[in-house]
Amino acid sequence: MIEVVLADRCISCGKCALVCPNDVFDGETGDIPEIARQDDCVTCYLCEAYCPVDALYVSPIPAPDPVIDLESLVNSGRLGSFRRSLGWDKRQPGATPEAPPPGALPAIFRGAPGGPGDAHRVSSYSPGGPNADHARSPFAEAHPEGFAELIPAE
Amino acid sequence: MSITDTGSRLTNGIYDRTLQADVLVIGGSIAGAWAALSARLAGASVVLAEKGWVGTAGVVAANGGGGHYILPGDPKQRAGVLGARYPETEGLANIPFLEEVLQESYRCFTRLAEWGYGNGSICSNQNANSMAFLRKKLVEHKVKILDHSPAIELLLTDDGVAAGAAGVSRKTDETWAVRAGAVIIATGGTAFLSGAMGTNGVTGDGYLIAAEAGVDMIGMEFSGHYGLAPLNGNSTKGGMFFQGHIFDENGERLDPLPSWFAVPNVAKALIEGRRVYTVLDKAKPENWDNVIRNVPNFYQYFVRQDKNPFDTLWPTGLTYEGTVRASGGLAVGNGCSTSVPGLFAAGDVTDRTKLTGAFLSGAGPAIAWCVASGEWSGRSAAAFSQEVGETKHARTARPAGRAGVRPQHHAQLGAREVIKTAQDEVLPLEKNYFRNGPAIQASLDTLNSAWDGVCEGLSGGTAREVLKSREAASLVAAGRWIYSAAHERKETRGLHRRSDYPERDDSQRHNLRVGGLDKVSVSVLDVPLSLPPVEVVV
Repeated sequence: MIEVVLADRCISCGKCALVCPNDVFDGETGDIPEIARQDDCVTCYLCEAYCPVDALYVSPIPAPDPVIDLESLVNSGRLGSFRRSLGWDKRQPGATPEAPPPGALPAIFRGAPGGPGDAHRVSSYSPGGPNADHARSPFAEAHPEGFAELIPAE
Repeated sequence: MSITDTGSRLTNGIYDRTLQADVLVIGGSIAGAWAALSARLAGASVVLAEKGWVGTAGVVAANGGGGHYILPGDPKQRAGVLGARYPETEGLANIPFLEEVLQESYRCFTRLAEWGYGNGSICSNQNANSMAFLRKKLVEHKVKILDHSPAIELLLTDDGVAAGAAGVSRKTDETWAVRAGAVIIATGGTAFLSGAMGTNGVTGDGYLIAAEAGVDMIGMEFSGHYGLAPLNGNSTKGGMFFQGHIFDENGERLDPLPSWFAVPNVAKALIEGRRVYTVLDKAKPENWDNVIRNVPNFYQYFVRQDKNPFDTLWPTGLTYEGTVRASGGLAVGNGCSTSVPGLFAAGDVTDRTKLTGAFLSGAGPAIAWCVASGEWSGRSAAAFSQEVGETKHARTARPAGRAGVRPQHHAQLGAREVIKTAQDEVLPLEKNYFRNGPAIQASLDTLNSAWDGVCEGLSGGTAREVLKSREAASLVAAGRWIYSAAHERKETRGLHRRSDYPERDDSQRHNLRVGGLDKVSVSVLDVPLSLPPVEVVV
């Protein structure tokens, strides 16, 4: 959920309050936004994506998580990481990706769904089928000592 | 602005803003955005009303997904995409119809490439980017966008023809009305506010407003679907689970078949009190960074907690996804028309059993359907509005909203309590995953009583309260339709599982049509024989 608005970075552009699909923030251009309805936050990270100055932090836990150390957060490199993963530090949201080379199939069509190895095709998992190796777990094979020690502590 | 509150102004037809358009689209995620563009390009003036913000609202912007298509001139690919998920449809899919949809989605995706989105995926990892691109297109083509403007009720003529809608502005407490020649509902499915990523805005509002006009639903019983997710996370991207393996606390493998095929075993383990763990161990270490870069929204959960999902076990749970990824919804016919003249529907809000039968529509067919149904409904609505002609805005039209907006008595109930009541019947695995007659009846009794309470005394004062009240009414209504259909299907088929009828019964290879408000009725709808696609011999 959204946990942190860094007031000293915020430029009061009002974007987060505008773009949040669940109306979590109060505030317009000129205000520092307030997290007014945290319970409605759906942990989608889109406010972070639209914040031009990386002044927001969304905890990945979809429940209030008040124990966030601001100093280590700022030093962690996480601020703005989601925005960078979308390339929005370098391009505007919705910017047209560069065109494919002439004659090349658009990227949309390079997936060619439904092939014999399609993950949703049940028959592909039969012995000898393209996905038959799903039967093996490399993790289980790497840890023959048994399970109890591998389960994370509560 | 009047001093009486937003709710009172709305119920009395006092609108702070009134707009007119040839076509009104309700809901601005991928299906609604596509429908708005389609109607606009067919020459209609268009208003798009969205509860949140067009570009971030809906499941696609937050959670992503890819769309299926058929490549022309590639018979192997055609047979493959039509046949890959056929067995799970359990006899209820219509493959020739699916083919038309996947041919249309090919044309739509081609157009997207021609508009300049040629080198990006439509949705997958670039989900938010593709929705931002569509918003730019809408603005460029002068579609009037009303953000933060949930539609609360339809406006119908005396003959019951759709003539627009009225709603509220969440952030300004204003009331609005749009008079239109035709209306397209594209409000998505519902996950009952389970928290599944991107689903908090989809609360079944479209089912309720359509039902108030007289539209029925099909396939609502195929809704017992939960998505795998980290136990205290919310990203239910089932696609990620194809990259790993799932175990219970004793080290027993739960996924002879991966991801959503393993959900019955995972549900059983969780119901029996066994903890479940996943490790995404198929990717090699040198690829881990790439994998994370490809699906940033799913992996935030791990990256932000310094956890490695590829070589450690992590606790796994199930989060309800309901009709978002499942297959039931509003009954639509040719051109995405509904039984109500002037009212059309597109995307997840509609019945998708013709595409994927009794099983999931997610990860491929659903998004293909969003663009295809957007395309078809946009054209149909534009044509209908054209036919209505000059009288479209002069016709008398009355608001149709009742439950949660025009209670019989003064407001007594809190919307949040009502929502919790609906969630308590629909979210628990024990009630909704493995259903049974007596439990279904008990849920129906609770929901029917909640419905009476809503009709008696639920409404709101501020715009946000008006919205919450309607969302609460919508969830109670959706729960009643789901369980009424589930009650009548006495077998197990696809996403409808009954522990008292654990086998499939071939004499029930039909659809169930469910509808009605004060009284819910269920009837059988015969389905043509579902033939598998012809295999291509290599």
